[in-house]
Amino acid sequence: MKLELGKIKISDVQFGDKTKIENGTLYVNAKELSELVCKDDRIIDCRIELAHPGESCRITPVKDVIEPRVKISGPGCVFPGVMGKVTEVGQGVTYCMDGACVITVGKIVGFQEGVIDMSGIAADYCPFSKTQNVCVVIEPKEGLETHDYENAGRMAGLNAAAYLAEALRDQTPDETIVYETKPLFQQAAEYPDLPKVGYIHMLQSQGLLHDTYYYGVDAKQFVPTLMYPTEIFDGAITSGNCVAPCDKVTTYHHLHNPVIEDLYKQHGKTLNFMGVILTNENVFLMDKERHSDMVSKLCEYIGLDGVLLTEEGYGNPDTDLMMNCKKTTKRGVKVVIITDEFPGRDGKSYSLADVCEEADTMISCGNGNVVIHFPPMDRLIGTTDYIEMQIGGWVGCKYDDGSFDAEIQIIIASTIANGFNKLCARGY
Amino acid sequence: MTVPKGKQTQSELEVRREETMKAEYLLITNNPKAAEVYKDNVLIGVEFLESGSYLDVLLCTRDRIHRGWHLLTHPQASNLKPNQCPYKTVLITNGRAAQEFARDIELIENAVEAHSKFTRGMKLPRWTDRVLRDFMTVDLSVVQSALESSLLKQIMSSHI
Repeated sequence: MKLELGKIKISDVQFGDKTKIENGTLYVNAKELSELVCKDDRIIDCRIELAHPGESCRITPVKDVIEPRVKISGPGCVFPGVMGKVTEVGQGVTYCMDGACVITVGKIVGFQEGVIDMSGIAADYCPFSKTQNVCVVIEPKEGLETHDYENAGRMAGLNAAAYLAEALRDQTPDETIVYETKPLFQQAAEYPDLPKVGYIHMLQSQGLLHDTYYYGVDAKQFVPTLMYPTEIFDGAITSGNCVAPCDKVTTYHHLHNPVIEDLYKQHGKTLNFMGVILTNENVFLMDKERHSDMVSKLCEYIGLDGVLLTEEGYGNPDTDLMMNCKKTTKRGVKVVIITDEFPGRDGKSYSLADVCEEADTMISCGNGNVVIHFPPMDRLIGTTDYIEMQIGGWVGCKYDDGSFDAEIQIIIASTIANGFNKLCARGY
Repeated sequence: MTVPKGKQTQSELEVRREETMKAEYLLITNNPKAAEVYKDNVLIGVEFLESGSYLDVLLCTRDRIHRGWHLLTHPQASNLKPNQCPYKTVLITNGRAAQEFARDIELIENAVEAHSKFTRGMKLPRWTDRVLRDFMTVDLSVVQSALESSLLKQIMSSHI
């Protein structure tokens, strides 16, 4: 399966009468976009705000971040099963808005998610302080059922991204990257002397605000399966997870999965990238047992020499992580774990909630319990009313001048457990 | 599976449980919403720790495991850490175990240790009633995601 990803670089975002891209600037017709989002009668108000890198601006609570992409040729649409038919994606030509994002902002439920600072110390921890952001600030209808509201918030972001992505159609990419993975036997034969490497991609799937969707299907409802890596670049996976900002894999992160991108960079040079094994993180212990058996079986069956393994979340998923690691190692496949750490404020506790002997090689993406000071900002998109209740905050962490102290786990993607951050070891 | 409210008295329910089941399933919870939803369920009993804390639920679960019960759901279910949600619901059984006893103990002890690590020196936020209701919904949703598992449904229907 072969996909050409055309990148249209966006260096600025401004409001305009017509939504379009001109000389690297994205112009947004805010009225049109807002009306589109408000077509969902579960949302009573939608305000569009723009945030640029370097501004004294704070965005919170953040639900999801999405990069606008559009299918130019090839089957299906971006976000299949959600924004269109359930047609297999991952081949043909796709354009993306390189450097611009949709950020869905607004009250979520009980606990509130995530902070993005566009400047200051906290900005360095977050990739979205470096992007041109179109913030979709939504207000739900009073009394909306929790699951309904989660769905409305998720769809608002995806709808906004699909709307903006239409502006990509008449553009010429500044850069095109070609990704290709062949059917299994052909792929194995292409680089017979290189180690065959795969990627076990664990998706959060534990209930309300803990879910991920593959072709629109709740990930807890599938069994582990093989995926062509290119499918992910067309939005085959969307995020419905809204718990723990620091290691939340937003839809943007799925589109930009750094493990897949980096494995492709090494493909044919130091390794033979065979494909992705997609699995879930379920709550019922026998499902964990069954699915980790299936994951390790697939690794053996397709003849992998080694795998990279990532999770989403902390606690329960650590058990899936260890079961996948243990069983896959026992079948003779080398495993490298990528994850983040939560050793407590004093750093004296175990970093993960579970462990096994076979987990002997791990890449850390940082410690989410580190505390920093968030300075006051001139502009606020959303609200900081809930900072003390947001994950990483605590009672008394907020000051009168608008500043606050919090663990870096309050920052969107600060320790994201797939390495799309600056706290991991990285080769330059 | 769920008996409509008001159709049977508690004692009738208990008799029916004894008649129809070999294995028992039990939700240990401090979540009023979970207790309400499952209070009349024929297959699943509820041990409702009405004024109990998150930690109390873990400790009660640990006690039950030492008395021969088995974990069916992961005690750290969900990505919400102990100081981030006041409610906890765990499903256990005295029927077929999901894993070895030693592993059950390891998971529940890890959960107790994680609770201590994340709450040490921290004050719980002053959550409003509305926020607490949302937390109840999220906690319930997590345990329901296990109860909706096709495998668990089959096991429960087979009374094993």
